[in-house]
Amino acid sequence: MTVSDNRPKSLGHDEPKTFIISGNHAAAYAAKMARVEVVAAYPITPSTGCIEKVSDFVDGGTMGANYIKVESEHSAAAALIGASATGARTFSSTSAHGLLYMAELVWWAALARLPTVMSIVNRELAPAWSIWAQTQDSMGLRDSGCLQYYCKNNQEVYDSVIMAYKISEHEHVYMPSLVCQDAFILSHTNAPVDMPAQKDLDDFLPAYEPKHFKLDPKDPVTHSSLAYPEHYRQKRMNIMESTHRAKQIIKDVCADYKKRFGKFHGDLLETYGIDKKTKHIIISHSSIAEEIEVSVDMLKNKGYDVGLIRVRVLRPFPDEELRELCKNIETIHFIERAPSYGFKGIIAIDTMAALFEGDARPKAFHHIEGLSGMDVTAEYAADLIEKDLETLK
Amino acid sequence: MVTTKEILRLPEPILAGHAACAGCSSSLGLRYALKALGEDVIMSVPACCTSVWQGPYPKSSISVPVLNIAFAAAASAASGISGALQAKGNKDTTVLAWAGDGGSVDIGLAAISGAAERNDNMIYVCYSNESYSNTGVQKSGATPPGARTTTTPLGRVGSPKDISLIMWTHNLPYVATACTSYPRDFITKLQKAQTMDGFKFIYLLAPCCVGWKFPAEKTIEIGKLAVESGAHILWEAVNGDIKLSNLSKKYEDPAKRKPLAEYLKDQGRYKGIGEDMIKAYQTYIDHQWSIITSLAKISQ
Repeated sequence: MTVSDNRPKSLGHDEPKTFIISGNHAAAYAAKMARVEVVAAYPITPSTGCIEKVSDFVDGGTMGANYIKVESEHSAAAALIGASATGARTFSSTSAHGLLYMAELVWWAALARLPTVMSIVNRELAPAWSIWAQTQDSMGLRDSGCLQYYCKNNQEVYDSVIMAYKISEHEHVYMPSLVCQDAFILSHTNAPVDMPAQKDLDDFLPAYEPKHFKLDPKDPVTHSSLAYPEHYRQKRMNIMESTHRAKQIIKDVCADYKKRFGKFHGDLLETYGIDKKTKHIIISHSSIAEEIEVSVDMLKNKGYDVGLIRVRVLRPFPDEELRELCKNIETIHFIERAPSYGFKGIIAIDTMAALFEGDARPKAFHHIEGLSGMDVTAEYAADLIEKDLETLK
Repeated sequence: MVTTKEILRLPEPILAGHAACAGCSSSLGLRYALKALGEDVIMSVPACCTSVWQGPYPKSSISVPVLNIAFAAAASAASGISGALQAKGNKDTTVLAWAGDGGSVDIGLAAISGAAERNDNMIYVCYSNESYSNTGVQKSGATPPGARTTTTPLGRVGSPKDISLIMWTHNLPYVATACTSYPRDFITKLQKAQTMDGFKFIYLLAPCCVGWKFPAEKTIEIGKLAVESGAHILWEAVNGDIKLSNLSKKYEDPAKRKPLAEYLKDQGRYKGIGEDMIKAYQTYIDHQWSIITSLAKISQ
């Protein structure tokens, strides 16, 4: 292995390899192979497996990152901000209450335009204590400016962490990324994950060289100081523009990754079983969506004209893409884990808003399912949709 | 110890036109700190007076790079800066966390304790005006007994936390106290800290004419009275060994201290405060002296 620059080492990946690993470990491998320079993290179930794996890599000498074992998630995010602002590529992993505890600094990282990447294991919030899957923890940070990816399997977790660095560090983006996976269903379940050779990954993801700013005594800047309304407004409008621009950059990066490594999970969204004539569309996310692919096959066998859209990226939201896919449909069926209390599912709310800017007005069916990691089987989901469709008769 | 002439000759790190109040000692303190530490410094500054007086975007009155960060996060952001410098092989740049007493003693305490326990490489200066001056002078964990603030209008009940001793229990390479009225002592302590690896902590008493309600031209005088009355003890600990600084040595003898009343008489925050509260302050001061001198004896 030859590395032309002085990036942290990542040993043991001279050739493409397949590992049978958990979603947590997939994220850890991705951080290692992305040659992350600074890790700051605090343990919380169920994301702990990721930082334990990072610890093994660092102490085992195969990962050259500086791992700051902070005393809280708030400090984890603050340390990422300090390190990222000093020009380092940074990584953390957390879940549920950890993410909420660091929420102030997650917003800070976004509004400071720092391209840190975190692996989020989506978990329920207490009370009551629950450690199982639900996506409200990160979806509650929907408006922070962070780019948010919801993965359906471990391969996608690995690929998405790598791609997230490329996207977040793009000079037209400079926003942080949350790469999300479902608690236990992915975080603790082993599945095959293909990884490219390190040198090929290095070509895809060069060292982080911030062009917007860096804390450097040779070129001093005061960062995040008081701004009067006109400057503050400009900074925030820049974020609006950058996060919109990120849509095309996500598409480009996913296409490039597919070309180089043969892996593609959709860019902003992924479709399954959809053609131009599809009348009924199911919209879902995360690992539930992979299960619903089977439901689509079952329903098609029964003669129903259904297809699936998996919203892979929640922010920036694929509004135009959804309008295009839904312009001729009759019904839309949301199956999602995260409600906005007092209204509907979070993805449903955003999707309906997106469709309102077009002409299509499909009849909508809303299902909040899989709370606290409850199993949503293919049969169960197919049954829900079938019942929806029977009401039309 | 550095001479006054040498201090004056050092480049001016705080640029003209900053937004501090007249008579502000935190701006004075940072001026000394950056004179002491030089130009190869990166600062982490949480919400505090300094985050305001450095001036609004797009200008700044601080000549070294500054990362402004959330209230509780001065130490943890500095840990990240320090970690990044280490990852990049930079052993020269000094990381300076510069935070007020609220950001250190109260909301940021866990973060400082964490950074100290990890011995992350930085100098942490808590400049203390003994209140939340920036938000309009509310009681902080460092507010002394009897002091009137906007949240203790009848005078502060109870004792402050001694953050310096809390940090001392973390087994650090360097802990010291200082006061903006004694720049030579402060600068010497900073320069000593700069030669050491790991987490170095300095508690800098910074009298606040607005919060303490004394005339702006008395800032230096009030700081000196704090030391001369024994209310603020100057000491340092290298690798845990506590030693009284020369400026405070003679006040180990209570008879040589100026009366507490003399320190408080020009401070509006103590105007009309009852004798019992002043007595509680004196008891607190005597207790602090007995702790510091006992620890200094053990260290000998």
